Amino acid sequence: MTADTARAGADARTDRADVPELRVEGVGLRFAGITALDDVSFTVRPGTVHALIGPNGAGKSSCFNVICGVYHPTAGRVRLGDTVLTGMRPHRLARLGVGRSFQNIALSQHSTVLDNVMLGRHSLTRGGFLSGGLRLPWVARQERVHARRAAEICEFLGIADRLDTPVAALPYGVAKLVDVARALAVEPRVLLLDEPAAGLNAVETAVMASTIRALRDALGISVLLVEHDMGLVMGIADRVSVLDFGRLIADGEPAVVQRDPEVVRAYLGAGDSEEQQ
Amino acid sequence: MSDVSDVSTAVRATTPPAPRPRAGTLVRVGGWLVLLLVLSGLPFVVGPGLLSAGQYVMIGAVGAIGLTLVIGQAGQLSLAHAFFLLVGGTSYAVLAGETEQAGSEYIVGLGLPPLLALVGAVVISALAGFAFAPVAGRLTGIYLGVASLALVFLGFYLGQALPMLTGGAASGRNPEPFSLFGFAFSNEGYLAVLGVPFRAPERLWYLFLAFTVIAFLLARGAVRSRVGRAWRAVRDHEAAAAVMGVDVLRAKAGAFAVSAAYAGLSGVMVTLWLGLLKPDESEFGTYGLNTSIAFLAMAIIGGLGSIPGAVVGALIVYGTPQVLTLFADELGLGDTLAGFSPTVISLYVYGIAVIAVVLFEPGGLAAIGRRIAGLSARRTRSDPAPATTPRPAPPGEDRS
Amino acid sequence: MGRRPIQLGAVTLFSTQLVALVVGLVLITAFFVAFRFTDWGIAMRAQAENREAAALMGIRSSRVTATAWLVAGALAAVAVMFIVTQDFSGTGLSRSTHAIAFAAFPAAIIGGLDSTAGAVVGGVIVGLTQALTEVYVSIPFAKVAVFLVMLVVLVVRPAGLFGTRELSRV
Repeated sequence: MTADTARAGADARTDRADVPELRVEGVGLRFAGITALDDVSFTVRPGTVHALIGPNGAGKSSCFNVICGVYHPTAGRVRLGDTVLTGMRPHRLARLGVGRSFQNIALSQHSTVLDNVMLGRHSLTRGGFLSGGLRLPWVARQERVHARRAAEICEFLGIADRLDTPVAALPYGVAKLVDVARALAVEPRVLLLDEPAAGLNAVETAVMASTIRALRDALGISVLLVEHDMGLVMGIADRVSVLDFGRLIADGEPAVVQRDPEVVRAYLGAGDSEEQQ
Repeated sequence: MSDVSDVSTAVRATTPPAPRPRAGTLVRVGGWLVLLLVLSGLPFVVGPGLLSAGQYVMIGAVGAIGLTLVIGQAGQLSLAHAFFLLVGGTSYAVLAGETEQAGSEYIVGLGLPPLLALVGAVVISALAGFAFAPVAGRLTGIYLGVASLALVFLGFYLGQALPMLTGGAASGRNPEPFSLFGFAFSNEGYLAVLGVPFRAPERLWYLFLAFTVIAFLLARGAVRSRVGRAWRAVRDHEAAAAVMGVDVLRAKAGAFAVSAAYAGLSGVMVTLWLGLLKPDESEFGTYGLNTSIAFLAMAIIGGLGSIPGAVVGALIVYGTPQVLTLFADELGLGDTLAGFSPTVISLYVYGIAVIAVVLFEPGGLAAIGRRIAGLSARRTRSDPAPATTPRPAPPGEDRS
Repeated sequence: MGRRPIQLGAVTLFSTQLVALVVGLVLITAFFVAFRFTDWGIAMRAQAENREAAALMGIRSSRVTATAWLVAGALAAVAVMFIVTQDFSGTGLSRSTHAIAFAAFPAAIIGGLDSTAGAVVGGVIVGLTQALTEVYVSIPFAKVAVFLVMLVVLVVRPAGLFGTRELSRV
């Protein structure tokens, strides 16, 4: 694949028709006798923003880690379209179009923003030690093309003026956006955002919300997010799944889920749910 | 961002940012060229003693670049460097040498052309590094370091146990001198350039200089490429690297293989420099733990992950004993120091250097260099400093 | 200390070795007790587990670190006192005596770095491997055998036999 076709392929991916369903089917997860997830099933419809919520310790992050292959479920499976993701080694998911951001920013602090975002291009590019070391013409061209795309993505997120800044020198809110930019650099068809608003102030949260909406509307991709900020979730989600003690207790439109008595009980009944993890 | 689709189409339409011309780039390239020119001219100015010392430093530089890649860039602690030196040296001696009989024992040699033997030795070293991957992939931190230490002890044992390959610890074996298209890098034949006779020290100088430059440029290119990014991602956050599409096990194995290949080349250079391949008789020798630690010191002093830093580290760690030896007699240190041989003194020198780096500048000389460069850049720049001034980079920075 | 061997049934021992054994057992016991019950031991274990949390609980990080090095040095000194005797090394100190320190690495690693009991078990495994290999295979191979055993242990249990594996949260 030449660099140009890689680019063309990348653009084609953002076509709405190409986005498959992400299906979580009866997933169970146990750690040393503790049941973290129990028969969890839901479907992320193409081109929607789907929120996964629940009190602390409900299993949201575990569910996330199962989806993106970091944890292996003890039961059930996850499918993207017709492809079974479960059992695959995590790095293969990027190639299938699954991108992910992290709750606690997992960037290389001393590398520049561009360098971090370029990591997302890993599975879209080729080249090993020798070709990279010799800076062969096709490697240099590929690097240019993909750096341009990375810059575009940063521009889309409004962080293009920080491309050459080391991540360590960025404010937290901007670093969060860099994490999202890196996930987008994978050219995902499904984007997983793990607590995108955690640690952000009100203004930064509003920016994040409009960004997420923009991702869905402009790129047509599906977004699955784990979030604590109910205002954010109810404002942008097309569909909400609620976990409590590892079980799915509600799944539906935000307005409906919000009134669900069991959801209300899970949030209000568990008074200690606001404890820090 | 109210009208989002507008924004995105606008973004798509923008022309890519043109590569910004950097005034510093020309200066830097010019500096490297001048340095290269000076190094190329050295054989016309200095004697064979100092040339030989310089060659030893280049042996260190090649090995240290390899080590700083695996430790500083990929974040995998390796103490096995000395073992890969032995693998490289032995492979070269076996591939290039002739089968001969020493006493009752045979010494095996395949008699390949030296260039082929050199490439073969580097490849074999890389494969040895790759073979360590199943262990390296499962371990982290100090556990990995000590596990890699096992290889040094294995090498020490095998060096003695396989005299048919290594020539045995007592006498060793003489490697075939390197030659390229019929030109021997030894005392063979007469060659004079500008009235200066070119014998083994001068010829080896250029050979080693070429090796070092190639090793340096390859590493620098790779670090700035996709491979380097994957290594740093594995170093900083394994799970994130995997999610971004990096095959973590493969990246680790690759880093070990590359580092072993560098060590292998360094090992070939050692045998060419000594004109001898000789496995150690005690745990502390050419291929012993002390060598692994010396390379580690070079990488740390230079700043983990920094390639120019590794070269300067080699200059300090391998240069000091050589220069001290050369000047010991001139300075009259020969008798007064008794037990304090140049080797022992240099141990103290780099021991102190490592401690100083750890205490005062964990980024090593590379960070100090960047700080100086940053200061001078700020002074010459007329426009106001950017809102976010990059902090002086800590260890393992990717700029090289 | 004399060179007169002591006969215990079928086992022949030098008195130095007997003293070393006793001293070793006493020290090990002392450390078990200290680690488990004294404030110092608890502080040390807390810091090993989570440095920041320990500091927040009022543990002085610098002091714990300093005493840890102090104790490590003192223990090494005790070991050296025995190593330099003729009964152990035969020749006393030499330039490569410190190589023996590298035998301590596999012992600590095999057991798991954060476990005192592991260090003891690791030490026994290292000692037995070395002694048995010296007798049944060859003396030069003994040291390699120790490291090979360590490699096997690590491949099966990456944090040693009794070590706790760090779980990374994402």
